[in-house]
Amino acid sequence: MSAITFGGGGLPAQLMHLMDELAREQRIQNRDQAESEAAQALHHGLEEASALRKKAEHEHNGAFVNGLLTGLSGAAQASAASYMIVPSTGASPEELGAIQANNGQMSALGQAGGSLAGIGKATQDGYNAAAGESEAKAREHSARAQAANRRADAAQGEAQEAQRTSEKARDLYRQVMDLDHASRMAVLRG
Amino acid sequence: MNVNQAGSVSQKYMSASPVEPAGEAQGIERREGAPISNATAKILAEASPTTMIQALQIFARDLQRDSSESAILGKKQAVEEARKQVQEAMDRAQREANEKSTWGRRTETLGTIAKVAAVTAAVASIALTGGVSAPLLIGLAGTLLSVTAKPISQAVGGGEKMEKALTYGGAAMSLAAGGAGLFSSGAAATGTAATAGHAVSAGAQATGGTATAASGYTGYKAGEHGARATEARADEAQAKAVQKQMLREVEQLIELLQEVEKSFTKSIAAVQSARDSEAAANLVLAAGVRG
Repeated sequence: MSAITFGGGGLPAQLMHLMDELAREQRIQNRDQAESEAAQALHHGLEEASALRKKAEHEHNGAFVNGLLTGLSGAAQASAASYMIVPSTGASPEELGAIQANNGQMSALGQAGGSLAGIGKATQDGYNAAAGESEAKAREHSARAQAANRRADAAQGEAQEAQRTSEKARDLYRQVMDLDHASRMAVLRG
Repeated sequence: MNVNQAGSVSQKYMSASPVEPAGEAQGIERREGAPISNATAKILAEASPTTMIQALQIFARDLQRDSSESAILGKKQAVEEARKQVQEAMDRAQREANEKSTWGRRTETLGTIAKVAAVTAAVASIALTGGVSAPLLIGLAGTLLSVTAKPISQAVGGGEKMEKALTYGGAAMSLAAGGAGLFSSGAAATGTAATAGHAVSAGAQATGGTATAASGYTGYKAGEHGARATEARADEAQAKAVQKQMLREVEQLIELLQEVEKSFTKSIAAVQSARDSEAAANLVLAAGVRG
């Protein structure tokens, strides 16, 4: 803060100047704070976006694995069913036995394939849980960004208020100086 | 303050000067667009010290204003670009959500077809083969358990965990039934009805398998569109953060511009005041000489 003393105006002018300087200091501080908070808000906004991208990645992976395994499961079931032999009437007991054995194998294959869908679903559930965590992180960053924005706005408002105070101080100072000037002129004119 | 307001403020400053230019008061005109060096040379040659100070103030103010306005216009363009990106991301998120919903409905339909086919296959196998073997009964019970897992869980308030347990339990029962059927060697009827039963059962299983395979694809597509919708949300969040920052910077620039303008007005007034004082002192001196 400068400690300038004025040739004219006396103590009131110096007080006004001091007030002006204080307001200016306050304004600078508030602006610095507003800038810092705004930078924080930007940082959290970008982090929110990053967390959401991570979530999208988990969702995509989960969908891919589940889709793949479910597809394989269905293909196994359909293939097994297509290889099932329909017994013809009048088949001998030996033939029936062979048919039953084949169909039993196919059925087991189909059922085993079916369990792949369950594995796929469980895997996707795991990815969904990770996606949920990313979503929670994104929300946290979003809330922080909003809070930082509010603080930045408040600091900006305070800086503007300090600016107005500073202007008022300057106006007062000018008035004092004008009065001083007028009095000097009056003295000069006799 | 939005960008349009910023533009209007800038426009105001462009069109209205708070004080009369010093050059005009002294009969010196600085032509718009004329080289600065010419105007400066003319001022230096013809102007009084206070006029020169005023001219320099105007010159400095013009430079500052032009610089600030250029920066504001640049930021305004960036803000507009970010706004478009936000809008585009929101639209994309909506489109992808709709697509996800469409593919999700298809997946549900295919899942229902697969479940119905599984029940049909089991019923056909039992009803038309003429013999109700234990493995078949277990298999049917398992399939029915899997199919009805959701409504049962909802009815008893078991939640998602119970639903999963019932689904997997039913699948395990069906699997066990399939294994048991593999080693069973009971004589089955081989009449026309039995043949038809086998055919219907195999056909239903094939249908169910195909529907399940298709539901794998549609499920993947639904998930993929869901992921894209989330990506669009990420783009939106990023663009919004950048837009907010740009708007803040524009506000700061406008504030700076306003301060420069106020400072200019005050400094011009101070110089004018000094000139008035000088003139008054001269008058007093002249009066003294005459007296």
